[in-house]
Formats: sequence, structure tokens, C-alpha cells
Amino acid sequence: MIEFLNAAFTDVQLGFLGFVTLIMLVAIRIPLSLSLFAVGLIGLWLVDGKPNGATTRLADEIFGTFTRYSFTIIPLFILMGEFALRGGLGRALFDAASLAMGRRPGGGAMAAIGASAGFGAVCGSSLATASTIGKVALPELRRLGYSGGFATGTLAAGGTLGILIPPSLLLVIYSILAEQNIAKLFAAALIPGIFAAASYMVVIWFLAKMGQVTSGEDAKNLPLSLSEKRAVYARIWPVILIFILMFGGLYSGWFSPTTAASIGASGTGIVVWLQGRMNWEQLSESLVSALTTSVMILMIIAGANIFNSFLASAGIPDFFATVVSESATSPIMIIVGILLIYLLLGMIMDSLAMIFLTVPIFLPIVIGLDFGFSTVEEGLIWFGILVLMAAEIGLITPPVGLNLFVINSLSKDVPINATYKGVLPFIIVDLFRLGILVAFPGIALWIVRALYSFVS
Amino acid sequence: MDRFFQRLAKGLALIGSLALLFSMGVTLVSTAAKNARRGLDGLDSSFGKELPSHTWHWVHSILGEEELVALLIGFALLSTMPLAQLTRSHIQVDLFKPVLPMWLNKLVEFATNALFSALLFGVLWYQWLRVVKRTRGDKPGFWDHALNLDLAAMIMRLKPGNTQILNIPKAWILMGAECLVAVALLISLYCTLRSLQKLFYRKVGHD
Repeated sequence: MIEFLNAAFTDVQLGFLGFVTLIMLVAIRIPLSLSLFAVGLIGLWLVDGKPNGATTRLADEIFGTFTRYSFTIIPLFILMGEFALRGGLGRALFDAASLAMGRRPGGGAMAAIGASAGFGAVCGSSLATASTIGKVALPELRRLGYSGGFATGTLAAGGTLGILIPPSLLLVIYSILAEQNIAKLFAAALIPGIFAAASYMVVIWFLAKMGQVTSGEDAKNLPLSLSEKRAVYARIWPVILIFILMFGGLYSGWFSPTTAASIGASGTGIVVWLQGRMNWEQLSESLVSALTTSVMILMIIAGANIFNSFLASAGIPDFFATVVSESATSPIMIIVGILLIYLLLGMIMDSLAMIFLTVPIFLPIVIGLDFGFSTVEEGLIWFGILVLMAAEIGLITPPVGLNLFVINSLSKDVPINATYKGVLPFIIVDLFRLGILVAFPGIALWIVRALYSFVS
Repeated sequence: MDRFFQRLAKGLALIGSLALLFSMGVTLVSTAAKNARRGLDGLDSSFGKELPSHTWHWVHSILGEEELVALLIGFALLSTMPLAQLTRSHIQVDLFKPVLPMWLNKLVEFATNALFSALLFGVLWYQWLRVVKRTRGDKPGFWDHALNLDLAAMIMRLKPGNTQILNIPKAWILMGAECLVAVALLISLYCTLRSLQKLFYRKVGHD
């Protein structure tokens, strides 16, 4: 069988065959990690004509991936999110955001966005942000008179800030796949993340002003005294302090990314422990849950490494890079084409799976294009932010926008179609924002250029 | 049986959790010491010659911190692999699940578990070849020595090589990893049998 396939197909054809097989396996619900391992190992065997390369990778890959120092930030950032999730930081952030924004038109929904942005600063997962803030804010938004669809749509969109505002798990994955500096990627994501939160609030304000959103009750819950207001704001200082300590240390050169993640995780854990929001059982649950999620992600990384070696051996990235370089299409149109593929994939695929499957193929193409950046690194950082934003849009795009389902499951009386309708204004503003970032890469690169000097 | 595997997997995951906590402690202590040394060195230079430069020599980052943290987290992750296997914590795309017939979904579940078992067996087997030296001719191998409880001879059969900084024998680390992969394989085989049972019988106790 192996000899037959090896003789019947060229390496590039085997690569395409492998890719199609992988998509089919994933589509019939074989776990992504297993599909990547299976197709990657068999593919390597087929391309090499002998099993040695595949068996060597089988022996080394899982252990090697689990013990690679640069990957240790994954369980630590996930643990930080777990502590924040179980420690009730979502409630504190929502209360403070309500206090700050509640009196404005659409203030309740704007507070939900603000709380999501704050939670995103201590949690790198979109789903965790959506479900945490959703649980706290959804009953409040309904009480304030927001329609079910708009409330769920707002919270689903707000959840995406979890991956846009650093630390972002998807950016960590991208940094591994693209071999880019995670600190620079986090810096590059900051302005687009804040821009996203601000644009969502503008959408809410605009819809409220137009009378499209019921928000007449927003101001009723806010007649607090000064001391009560102080007490509400005091509950969120640890989040701000942890964020400043983590990123301040990272960019001042005092901490490595792993140290920053360790400080973030332990700091969040200590804060929720001191606030009496965590007992031993919750601590062990947080640790086990963080490790289980990390195993899932690192198994995919290990599988993706093998699969990508197969694709590289088959010459697929080179094939695409050659096709693109020989075509007369402008670099910016190629980026637009890639982003369109991401947006389409985002409708039917999990964002993590999408990034693992596509980044290794698109990366050589992007490296080969000239966007006028001073270094290749700048281009890859910019591309990483675009991929992140496209993945973020995928999380709220029907029919398989996971955030939509997470939030919808919290509100049984809201039909999923109403949530689809409610999230539509946010998708439109997301696409607009993505367009701006394609046209003006400086928005993403400004902080990076200010913090680090690129040398050609 | 199910309870036994649940307890085994959760117990291992909890031990892994301790390793994760310990790794965080190592990172924090090492970073604190490293930055304290920076500060003290600065203080030292401000005193000029009054304090010799080696005054603070005992304040430094933990030697081999990165290696230790990577190994601890690797241990934590490998310890949690059996639980991830038992609780099916793997990303799956449920695009066609609602439209596929029940028996096909069960078949896919069985195939998934069987494939995972095969993968873990492959890892266990080929990783083992990295632990022990190949036996030539009819000389006794690792397992022959193990049956004779000859510990010294067993150690002689292990492949040489230590980690770069902590100098821990790599074969010992890989043997530890082998034990954890073996537990994951055992649980994966149990899951395979359970899904096979579900494929042929409509009602099976615990899911």
C-alpha cells in the first residue's frame, strides 16, 4: 500500500491528499490532535519511502513538546484564566464597569464590553471570557430591558476581547507556529484590542441613540454613595495591578514570558484566595482544569509539528509560495484573499483548529511577499494580528461561532436566530476594523516599534 | 472498574498539579533572586570599594531553573494525559454529529479511542528504544536483568546522556515519562473497550 501510493503520486500530490484526508477526519469528529498525528506520520512515511523518520518523530514529539521551555507559558496563562474564572473577578469587573458607564445610553451593554475587556487582560480565552461575563452580565442586561438577542449578541462579541487583549492564548499559539517573539505580539495586539472594545461601545451607543436598543433602565441601579463607589472600584485594583506587573516586567526586561505568566497565575490565585473566593477544592479544580486544557492544546501542537513536517517534506508551502510569487496579484490582495479564507473557515471551524491547519501553509507565502516593512518580523507580527482578528470574527460568525453557542446556552429563552441577529452589528464593525488594520499596519506595529527597535 | 480508572487518572492529575505549583514557585523564587541580585549589585557599585563585589555572590537565580521548570511542567502534563483521555478532553469539530446516525457516531468514538491507543502504544514503544541500549546477539537484555532483579546490570543497559545543566540522566526522565504514557495507554484501552461495548449494546452503565 505504502509503495503503491509512493509510486502513484508525486510528493506535492501526496501533500494535497494528506490535507484532504485531514479535513475529512476532522469533519467526521476524529479529534484534531489525533487526525494531525495519524495523517502526519503516515504522510512522512509515504514521502520518505521508509518509516524511520515517522517513528523518530513518534518517539520524540510528545515528550519534546511537553518539556519545551517556551511552551511552559501555555499552562500558566490558562491557569491564570482559571483562577480569574473561579475567583469571581468577572463580577467585580462588571460592577465597576457598570458604575463607570451605566448612565450613558446603552450603558449596561457597554459595561458588559468593558468588563469583557478587563477580564481579557487576565484571561487569554475567548470562551472563558464569554461564559464568565455572560453569567454575570446576562441577567443584569435582561433586567435592564435589553432584548434577548441584543444582550446575547453583545456578550458573544465581548467574549472575543478575551483573545484580542493580551495575554491571548491564540497569540501564544501563533508565536509558536510562526516562531515569533510573544512579547512583541502581545504589544502589537494591545491597540487593536482596545480599538475593538471602543468600537463595540460606539456601536452600542449608536444603536441606543437610534432607539434600536432598550436602555431606559440603565441609570436606576447606580445611586451609590462615594464610599460605596470606592468599595466597588477597590475590588478591581488587583486585576489592574497584576496586568501592570506582568507586562511592565515583561517589557522592562525584568521577566521572561514564562516568569510573567507565572506571576500572572500566582498573583491572580493569591488575590482570589485572599478575597476568600477560593477554597482547596476550587484550587485543585483550577489546576486540573488548566492542565487538562493544556494537554489538549499541546497534543495538537505536537500533532501539528508532525503534520507540518509532512507538508514541508511534500513541498506544499513551497508550492503555494511559488504559485503566489509567479502570479501578478498584489501582496495586499493576497492578504485579503487569505483573510477571506479565514473568515469562511471561521464560519465552520474552531479558531484553534483553523490556526493550526492554516498558519504553516500561509506563513511561507506571507514571508515571500513585500509589504514595505523594514523587516520580515514586522510583517509576521502584523499578519499574526490579522489572523487573530479573523479568528476572533470566526468566533461570532454563524453557524459555528462558538461564543454564540456559549452565550445562547446561558439564556434558554433566546432563540439562536435572535443571537445571530444581535451579533450582526458587531460583525460588521469587526470587518470594518479588520479592513482598517490591513490598510494601516502601523496601528498594530506602533507600540512594537516604540518598545523595540527593528534592525534590518 | 470505571471508578478505579477515574481515581487513578484524577490522582495522577493532582500530583501533576503539585508539580505545576512547584514550577511556579521555582520561577518566582529564581526571578526574585535574580532581580534582587541586580539591585544589590547596583547598591554594591554605589558603595565603591567599601563592599567587595562578591559580597552578594550567594544571591542568584536558581541554577538550571529553565530546565527544572520545563521538566516539572512536562511531568505535570504527562500526569494529566490519562485524565484528558478518560474525559475525552480533545478538540473535535461537531459539524456533522447531529446529522449522522447514532451508530456512526458511536463507531467514530470507537475508532477514535482505538487510534489513540495505537498512537500511545507507538509512543510507548519507540520512546522505550530511546531509554535502553539495543541488545546484540544472545546477550541478556534489560528485561532479562529486570527478571533477575539485577539493578546494577539494568542501569548498565540504559542509554547514556544527561540533561545539560541539572545533569539528570535522560534515561531516568524518559522512564518516568514511559510510566505515565503506559497509564494513559491503559486508560485509552479501557475507553476503547467501553466504546466497543456502547457500539453493540444500547445501554451501558457509566458514560
